[in-house]
Amino acid sequence: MGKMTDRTVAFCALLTAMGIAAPSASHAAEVQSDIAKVREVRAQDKSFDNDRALIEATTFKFDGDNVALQHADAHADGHADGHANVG
Amino acid sequence: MNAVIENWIAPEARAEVERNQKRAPLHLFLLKVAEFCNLNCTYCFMFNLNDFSYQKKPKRMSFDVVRAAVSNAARIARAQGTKAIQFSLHGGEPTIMGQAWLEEAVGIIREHAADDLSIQIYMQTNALVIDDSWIDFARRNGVRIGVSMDGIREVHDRYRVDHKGRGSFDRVVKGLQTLIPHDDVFTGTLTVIDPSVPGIDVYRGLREIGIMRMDFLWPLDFNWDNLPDRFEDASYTPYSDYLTPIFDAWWEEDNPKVSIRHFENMVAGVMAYKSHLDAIGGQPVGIVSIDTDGGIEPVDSLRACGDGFTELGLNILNDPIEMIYTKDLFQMAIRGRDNLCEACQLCPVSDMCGAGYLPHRYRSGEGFGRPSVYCKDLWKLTSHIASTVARTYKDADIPLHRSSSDMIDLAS
Repeated sequence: MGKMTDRTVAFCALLTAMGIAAPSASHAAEVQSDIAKVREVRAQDKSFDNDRALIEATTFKFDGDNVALQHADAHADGHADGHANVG
Repeated sequence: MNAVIENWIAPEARAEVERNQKRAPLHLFLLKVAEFCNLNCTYCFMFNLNDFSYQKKPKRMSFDVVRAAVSNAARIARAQGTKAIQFSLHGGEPTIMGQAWLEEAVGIIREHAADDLSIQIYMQTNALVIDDSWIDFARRNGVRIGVSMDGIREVHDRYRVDHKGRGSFDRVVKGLQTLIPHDDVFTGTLTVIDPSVPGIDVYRGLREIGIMRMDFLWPLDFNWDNLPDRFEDASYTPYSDYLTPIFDAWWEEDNPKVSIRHFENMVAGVMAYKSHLDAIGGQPVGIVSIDTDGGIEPVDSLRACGDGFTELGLNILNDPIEMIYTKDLFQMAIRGRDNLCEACQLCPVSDMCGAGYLPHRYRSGEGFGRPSVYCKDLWKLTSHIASTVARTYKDADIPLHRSSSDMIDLAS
């Protein structure tokens, strides 16, 4: 069970104030905790770096400042990039 | 400083333009080669929603506009340090222009490819006229083809009708059957969600036809001026209920050859990768649309917000494309996460859903400062995906192919 924080409570309250059906703060906290777990495991996953290198070699990649969009035969087997209405 | 910026942009605006170019370099150029269509889909944001600007524009793009668009695109790409750009032959329906016209247009585009700039060309079609000659055309010209279709006859023929109101399912499936065996040409399908039918039936329909790469689009009909049905009913989440069984089936099958773009981007978000699919709206969107008359506009789906909404008073025949960075609407579109309202900034899943698509956040007179009108559905779907991934990851056995799209680490 995730821990309710001021952040999750505030998030739910803000949605409600805008007339949007909000999740319960406890559910929001649970989801937040799930995501944190995934990221923690992923960060420790040594195989990840290799897989990421492969991903970057074969798909688009931005440099740190998003300045350069490099291309290595991107999407040779996939969708066009970026826009919902371009499949 | 880029000479265009120095010559065209007021000194007080130059720093902001340069900052925005770094934030969102243009990489995808939508060429609206035909502003008419051989179908008359009821939900089409080009012709049948809120924007009627097509009525005052030429139906066909001229080669002068193509030349100006491509030379501007190549120039700004080099100025921005971009190594690759994409063009999408878009519409309306691009095949209406005919293969000879399209071949000449592609030739103009290819003239600008060089060692320092790779160019990819896509075409988005309704597949009505696709036959073997289009496969030859695509191969000859290095064009990849995506198809818009709605999965099963019951849905497809309700919306994707011709100008006589006749469904197009059979004709489109015939076109798809021509394309599907050619993996080097066919990119996949786009299907607009109709929550009145079970999404899993639509997904199975697509798979039965042989589609392995697909995406599902949230309808552009709705925003804060026109709310979805039963908006205030927390228990009514038809879009999530449509997509969740598809996600579960896809995740369970765990077949790396089956790609559902929206899900891949959301799963990547759980793992703290960035998405750069504009429908997942947390990232800057370096997309520009060029109309048949040469009009330079932001991403075309914003047309759903109102009549003439995307018109910026710029034309590629007269203005350098850099000028789009001076326009408020484009600046808003590239603000990415900074654009999100306070609730979305606090939301635990906003890395994954990105507050949804920009047009769904719009309210006239107010702009885009709210969550998506699909927020409750996005929450339900996204939290389900996050929890599913977490359960899978608990065994440290994450199927990494699920994130094999174009993502980078948020922490980098």
